[in-house]
Amino acid sequence: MKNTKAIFFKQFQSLLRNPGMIVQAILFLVLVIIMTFLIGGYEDTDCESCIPAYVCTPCLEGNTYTSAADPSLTGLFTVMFVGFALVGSASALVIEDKTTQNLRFMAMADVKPWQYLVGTVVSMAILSVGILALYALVGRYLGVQMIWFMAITMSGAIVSILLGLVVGLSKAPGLTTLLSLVLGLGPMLSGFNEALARVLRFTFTQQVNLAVSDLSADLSTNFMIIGANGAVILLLFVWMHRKGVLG
Amino acid sequence: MCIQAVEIKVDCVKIECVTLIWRRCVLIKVQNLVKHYGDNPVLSDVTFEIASQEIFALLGPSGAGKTTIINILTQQLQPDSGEVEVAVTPRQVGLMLDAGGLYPHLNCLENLNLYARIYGLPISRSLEVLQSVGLEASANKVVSELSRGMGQRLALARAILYSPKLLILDEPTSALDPGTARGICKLLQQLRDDGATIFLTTHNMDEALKLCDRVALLHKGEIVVQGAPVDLCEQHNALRTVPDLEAVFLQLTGVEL
Repeated sequence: MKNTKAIFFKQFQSLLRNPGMIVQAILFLVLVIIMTFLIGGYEDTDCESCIPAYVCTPCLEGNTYTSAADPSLTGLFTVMFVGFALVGSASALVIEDKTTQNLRFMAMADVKPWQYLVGTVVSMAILSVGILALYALVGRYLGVQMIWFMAITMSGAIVSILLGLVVGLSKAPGLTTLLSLVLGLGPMLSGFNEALARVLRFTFTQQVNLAVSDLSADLSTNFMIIGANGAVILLLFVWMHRKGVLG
Repeated sequence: MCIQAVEIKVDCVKIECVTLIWRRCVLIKVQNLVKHYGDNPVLSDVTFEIASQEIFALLGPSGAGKTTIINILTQQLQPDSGEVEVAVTPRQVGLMLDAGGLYPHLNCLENLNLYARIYGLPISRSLEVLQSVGLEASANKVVSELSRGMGQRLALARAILYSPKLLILDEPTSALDPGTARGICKLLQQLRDDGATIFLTTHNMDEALKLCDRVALLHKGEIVVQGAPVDLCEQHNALRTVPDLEAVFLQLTGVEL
């Protein structure tokens, strides 16, 4: 427990001192505020062939697709924070631990990989709770809707942090930028491209985006896909540990 | 402590007797160590032992294989062949790699507190160690604002924080001014007297001569000679007015350090 606590305190201090994550969170929040209050929403549409993540132009023009939820601006920017800022920040934390040789020192001090994982994830998750609550307030998700908003975005945030950790620990930490671009911007871009929408619906950020668009719907599928993403990443972490990548 | 039979020589008469004496235990035993990076041999048949409470230095130019030996001792690298025995657990080893192990955006105290928490030590211990390396006035200074020498002292503070049984130091005084280097040498001798065993690498022959109980001269991955510094100087006629380990190295390898 003391090892996990030590890692938690250090990572929390690092996040505050090196506030890339907080700066990006504020930047996206400002964009949500500007766009929510200055730009109007989409009109309802109805089309049998459209999927929630992609509404085709005829449907948009004909207002015929009723099952598609309004793309939520707050949702899109929340996804950018979850997919872009969190993956990048988690990866940066681990890369710093690696380049300063602290992972080596921690391994020598008998810090177990799971203790490092828990300490890092918890510190980032606590900061994320505060930031995501602000997004919820700006998006006017109140009461029960706020609870669902926080539940779905926090589950996405935890998967995102795990992914950042794994990529940072891997031998290809340069993949962080590519992954955070795809996960952070993909859900927004999939609104313009059907193929992209169909591929990205299996990603956790797209599921966060879809769930936030309609929080009153049944969210079990969204949670299941997010959970499956998390499970795959955890398995990858265990595999890397066994291969000795984690020291 | 180990008990060993010894052979005693008195004047010219060789008296063989079996005597029980207290001898310090071997803490590190390296035998016939071989390591290649690709086709490049880095270490060839390296053999040495370090007894507990001994200060032992590996001397040699850059690329001689010193850091490779440290990496093997700390289990970061696997040797191609040979045996390495370290009689303490990695948790009991204090490691200092230049200014490694420091977070540039955290201050000195925060850097030490991470390991104080991991080792279950009170936070006051961090301050105490900062004081011992002369950094108490910089406790709240961010590492990125420290000079290289101060960073090196902080790295040493991190290594000695939890009073390790074995200290492995990679060129601990390379960026220090002579006065601070002397202070660090005194600190290392104090740690040895308190029970620590110290393995260090250095280019500084003068420092090795004054500080170390034994040294090994490493050249192109091979130990060319090892022993007490003054004995080595004596054996190779390098005593002159003052003992000169650099002359011993030049004589044995034909290379200047």
